[in-house]
Amino acid sequence: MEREEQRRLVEAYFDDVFRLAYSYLGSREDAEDVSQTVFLRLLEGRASPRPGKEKQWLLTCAANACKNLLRSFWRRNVGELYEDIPLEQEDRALWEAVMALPPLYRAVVHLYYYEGYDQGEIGEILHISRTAVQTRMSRARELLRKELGDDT
Amino acid sequence: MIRERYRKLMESDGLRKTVEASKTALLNRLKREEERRIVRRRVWRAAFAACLYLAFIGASALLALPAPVREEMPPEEPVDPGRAYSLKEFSDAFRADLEDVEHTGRSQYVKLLSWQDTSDYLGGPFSGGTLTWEKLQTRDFSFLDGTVELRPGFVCITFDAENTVWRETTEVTIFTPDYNAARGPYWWDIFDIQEEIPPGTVFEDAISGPFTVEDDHVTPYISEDGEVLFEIRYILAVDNLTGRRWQGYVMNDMPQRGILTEKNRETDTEKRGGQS
Repeated sequence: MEREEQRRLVEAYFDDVFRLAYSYLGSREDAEDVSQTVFLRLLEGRASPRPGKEKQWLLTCAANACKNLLRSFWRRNVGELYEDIPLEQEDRALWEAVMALPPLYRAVVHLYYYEGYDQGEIGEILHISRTAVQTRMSRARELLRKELGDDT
Repeated sequence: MIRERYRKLMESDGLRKTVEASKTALLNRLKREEERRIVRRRVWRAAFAACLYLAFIGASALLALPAPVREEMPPEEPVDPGRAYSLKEFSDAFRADLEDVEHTGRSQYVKLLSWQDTSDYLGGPFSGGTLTWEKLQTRDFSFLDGTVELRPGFVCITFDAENTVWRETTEVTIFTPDYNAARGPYWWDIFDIQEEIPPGTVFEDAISGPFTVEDDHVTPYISEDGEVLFEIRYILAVDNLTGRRWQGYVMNDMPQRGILTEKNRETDTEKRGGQS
C-alpha cells in the first residue's frame, strides 16, 4: 500500500476506529493501542479491506481487537480506570452510564448512535446476528434509561 | 435523545483532542516505521551486493588457483636403531664443528675411544642418561667427571633395539684430550708411522698388549668445488688379547696437529701434566 493511501486512510478513519475502541474499552491507552494495532496491520499489508468497505473493515478489526484485549489475562486481572478526559457534567453522566454497560452493549450503542449503522450492518461488523443486535440494543437502552432517568 | 447526547459526547473537545493526539502519534510512528523500512531495505541491498561481490571474488580466486601440490616431506634423520653410521654421515652432520676444530687446534687431541666397556675410558658413562643421536647432535652431554667436553668426530655408532644402550665399542671416536693422556702411547706409536701400515702388522703395547692392524687408509674430504678440504687417516686394529677392535683417525693434511709425532705427543702430555 502506498504511503499516501496509508495517510489517507489514517486521516479518514482513525477517529472512528479510536472512538469505537474507546467506547468499547473505556480506556484511552487501550483505545490507542487497539487503533494503532488495527492501522499497522492494515499498513503493513497483513490484511487489506475491500475497496469501498474500508471503514467497515477497520471497525470490524477494531471490535475484534477490543474483544481480544478484554479476553486477555492481563485485562481480566486489572480494574478499569477511566481516563481523565475532560467532559462537561452532562456528557460525563452519559459517559459513565455507557461505561456501566457490558462491553458488547457499548459497541452496539456506539455503532448505532454515533456511526449511524443499522442493525444489519452492526451485526456484520461485530459478527453477530441481527437478532442479537436488537436484543443488545434493547437491553442497553433499558439500562441507560435506568441510569440516566427521565433525561433519555 | 440519547443519539444527540451520545454524538455530542463523542464530538466533545476533550475527546476530540485525545483522538487528534493519538492520530498524530500514529502518523509519526508510521513515518518512523517507513524510514526504518527504507534503511533496512538499503542495508539488505548493500549486504546482498557485498555477498555477491565476495562470492564472485572467491569463485575467481578458486578458478585461478593451481591444482594443489602435495609437498614431499624431507626424509627423516638417518637414525636407525641397530644400524652403523659411517664417518661420512657424521662428519657431514658436524662439518661446522670439524672446521671449528681446525681453527682452534683441538684436533691435536684426536684419539680413539673404546666404548665396549664404559670403565675402559676416562670419564665413565655419560651424564644425563644414555647418549642418543639427538644428544650427539646438540652436544647435550659430557663426561661424568665434568672436565671433558665431547667434540664431534664420531666414526660410527650403533644402538640396541630400544635405542638406549651403546653396543659397539670400536666405532666411536671423539675428541678427548684427557683420554689422549691416558691412552696416548698406544696410538701415538701407530700414528708415528708416516707410511701406510700393511694389514696384518702386529704392534706390541705395554698397556693393551699386542694388536694387529687390519686396515690403514686415507679418506679425503672434498668441498663442492672439488677442493680437498682435508684428509683423515683411519687405522683399524684388533687387540690380540681381548679381541676388541679399535679405529683411530688423524688429519693427515695438518701435520703440526694432525699427524701426531712423538714430539707432539710429548708437548700435549706436558700440557696435561705428564700423564702419559
